[in-house]
Amino acid sequence: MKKRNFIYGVLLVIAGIYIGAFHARLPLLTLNHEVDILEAGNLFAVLALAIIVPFAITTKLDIKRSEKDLLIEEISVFSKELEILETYICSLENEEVSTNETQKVQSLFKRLGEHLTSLTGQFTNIKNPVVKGEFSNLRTQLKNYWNCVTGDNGLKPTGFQWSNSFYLRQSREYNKIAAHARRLKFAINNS
Amino acid sequence: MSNVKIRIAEDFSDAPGARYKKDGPDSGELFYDVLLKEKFEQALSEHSKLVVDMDRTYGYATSFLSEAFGKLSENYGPETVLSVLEIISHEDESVRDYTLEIIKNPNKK
Repeated sequence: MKKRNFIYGVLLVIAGIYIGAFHARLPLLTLNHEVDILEAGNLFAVLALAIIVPFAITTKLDIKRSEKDLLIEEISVFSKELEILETYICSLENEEVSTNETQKVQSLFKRLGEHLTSLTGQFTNIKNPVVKGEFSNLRTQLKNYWNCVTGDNGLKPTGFQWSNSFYLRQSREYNKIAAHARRLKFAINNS
Repeated sequence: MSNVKIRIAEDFSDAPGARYKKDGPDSGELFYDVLLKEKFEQALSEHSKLVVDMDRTYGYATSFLSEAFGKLSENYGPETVLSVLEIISHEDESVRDYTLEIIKNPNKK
């Protein structure tokens, strides 16, 4: 593509030189001497800019907006799945937790991790430090929530005792990660 | 020289459990005792890598990871473990990150 543009550019310059030389020898088109050649050039330049600039800017803005919308949508899906996980954990209150239930919690965490893994690829091209920082915070907070729910004081298939302190700890970590997800959406929207 | 491999979902369980054997089935302690330790020593003696594939499971409890890999790091040292072990977790990178963190800081487990 670059090579082709270069060839077109060279051909255009050569053609311009030939047309100029041809016109100098055979003045078929004579300009009115009252028309300043610089002003005529300015007129063409202004017309060209009036056409090209809005086209270039709006196209670029549209792409940027649609990329932001896509990222925000994906984080919204992440937030919904996070809510499903928290609701499921709370539904286990005062129950004897089974192997299947702990597996389901682990699989819900895995889905959240997969979301962030897929988003990581999209965030590598983003240079805005606020957005990058918020994304990093979201990943750290997911790890904290995961550790709170499935760590030593968390759910286990055998011998888990549901307690208010577990409920409060997981609820606090959930609120933190939900807030980070909202902040990330806000940062993307305003980047 | 080929690498030694562990595919957790196929070689151990697709639903790994919690930390200790008393916490339920397929715990991190069991994984260390029956598979990880043996394969790690095999890789060490053969001067090859131990590749642990963590994909295709239902997910992990952090207590499972910290027991199995934390114990490995405590027993053999973080530098040795990091030089021999290669972790694959394409589905969820946080599993790989958490495991490496535990190996580097086994006292956190």
